[in-house]
Amino acid sequence: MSEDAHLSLLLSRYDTLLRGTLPNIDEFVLKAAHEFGRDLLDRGYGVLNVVGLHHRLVGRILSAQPPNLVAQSTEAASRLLVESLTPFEMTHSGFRAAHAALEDSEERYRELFENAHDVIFTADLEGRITSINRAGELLTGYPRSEALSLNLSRLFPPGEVPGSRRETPWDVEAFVAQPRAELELLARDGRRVPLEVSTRPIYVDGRPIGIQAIARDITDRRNAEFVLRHLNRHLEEKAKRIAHALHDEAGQLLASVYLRVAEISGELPPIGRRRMEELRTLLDQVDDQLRRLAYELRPTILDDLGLVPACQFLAEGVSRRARIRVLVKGSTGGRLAPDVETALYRVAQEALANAGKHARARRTTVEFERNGRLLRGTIRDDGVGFDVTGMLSRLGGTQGFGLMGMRERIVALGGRFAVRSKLGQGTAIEFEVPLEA
Amino acid sequence: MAEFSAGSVARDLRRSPSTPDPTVVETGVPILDVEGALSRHVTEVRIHIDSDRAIVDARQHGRQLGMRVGFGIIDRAVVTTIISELGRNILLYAARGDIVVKMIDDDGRVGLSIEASDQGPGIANIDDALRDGFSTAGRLGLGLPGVRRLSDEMSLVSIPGQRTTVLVKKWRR
Repeated sequence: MSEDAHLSLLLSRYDTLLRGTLPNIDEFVLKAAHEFGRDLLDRGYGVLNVVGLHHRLVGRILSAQPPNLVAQSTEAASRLLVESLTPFEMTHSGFRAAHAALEDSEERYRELFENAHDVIFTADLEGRITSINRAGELLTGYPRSEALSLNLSRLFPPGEVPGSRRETPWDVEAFVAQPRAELELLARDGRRVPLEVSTRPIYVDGRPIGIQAIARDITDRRNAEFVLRHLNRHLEEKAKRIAHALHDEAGQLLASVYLRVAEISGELPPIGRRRMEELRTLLDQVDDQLRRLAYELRPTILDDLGLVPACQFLAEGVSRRARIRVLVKGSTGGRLAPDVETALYRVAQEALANAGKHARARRTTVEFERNGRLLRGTIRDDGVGFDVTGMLSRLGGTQGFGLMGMRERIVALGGRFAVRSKLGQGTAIEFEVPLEA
Repeated sequence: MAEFSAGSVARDLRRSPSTPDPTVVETGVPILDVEGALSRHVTEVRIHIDSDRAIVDARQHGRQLGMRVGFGIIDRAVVTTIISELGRNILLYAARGDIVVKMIDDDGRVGLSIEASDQGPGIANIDDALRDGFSTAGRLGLGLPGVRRLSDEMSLVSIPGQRTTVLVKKWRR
């Protein structure tokens, strides 16, 4: 095999391995990195060849990765590079070059940190900012010289944390306790920016010395949620109008048809009257269908009495039609905002329809629980269940769309949504939404 | 495949009873050093080398022990490179052997020792084996001369036809 062919084989093998593992690495990959470096050394390549090839491979992988993995992958990649360069330190000529290249690549990875789109910062145990990248300077409005003397509590002032009643300051402990959180950043000019922050502790020699956090501006996502919420509201308004037209206008028309039928049948001979009776039975069915359609489009009971009574009424209907027992439990602690009631009702409606149609459940429980400014809900059935990841990966199916619709409604309210199910073990739909003060 | 034994070194290295478990990875990312983390009482690990997979194990133990004695990322990579190189020699010349990685403490100076032993054909001329470019399996001074360059101390005992033992020490900087 020629040298070129051998090199490209070596590269493609290592590339495949990296693609399959980054951002996670284990000793197996590290050994592969060692052998990558050693093999190149053995074939007379220099330190810079290894560095160049490595950056090229890793760069391609990083650019194809979702941004939230990039920081971790970068760190993993730097450890692989260290591993692949160390064999060079075994030789006279490689000894210095490998060291220089390592320092150089540290510089490179520092640049990646600098130029990351996400805000990256570290803080010590007292909450003092110890490093922050350029994205962080731009977003906070504090130049690095000022940012480095700031405390976390200045950037993340005490705020309302969903689920707790007290004002909680975002200190180091709070960050560690909640490694993923949505927070509001108070910028230097007083702007408030919603951020999604993931945090992890930094250890040196096994002792925690501070935290590292990666934060992303989620203004766009918030805006999308806002738009979605408005769209939902708009659709509900439309549904309400159609329901009204069906129930009141079409209903009135139907009532006059009834009257006419009664009038005409009075003027007919007995045979004709029997035919008219058949016509009345058909009209009764039309009337029933109209009412049901109107109700499903927009249950008046939801507007009049609220979420739990509406769900109870819905449950009775489902019980009758699908022959499953539906139990509605808990309380929402009073009326909620119309948007919230509508969204949660629609989620319950979809979930109960699924339980009846696909799950072949015998029992379903709908439960609401109010906890301060957080409303939790669970809809659990004892049906056949399904493979959640499989379902979400082939979203073409109608049930997949149903799940997506439910998730979207909850997300539009800034809430969280989860489906837990296993084949043969029933399904649980869980959600929580924050409530406005 | 690996045997663990406890020694007195661990006690000396622990700074205080409240010191957190030093097997936690330095950066907090569960990427490698925590996987299969050893108890902090283990100060010595013996790995029987008979395959590439065993070399992976030996490297992992070396990396963990290296972290426990306070080696930085680069010195931990040096330790794994030494282990790879010695492991490779065992597979190449003797097919099987053992590697023992041990935490060592010499009057406050701490580090790791790595001992590779096998019952292969042995080395006829040790001076030649330690000279760059001698190795029959590599070029450019890989193999034993390379290991010597990476380590702080090295000793080699070989009785041709009976056994070969390479002992390497690396101290914390």
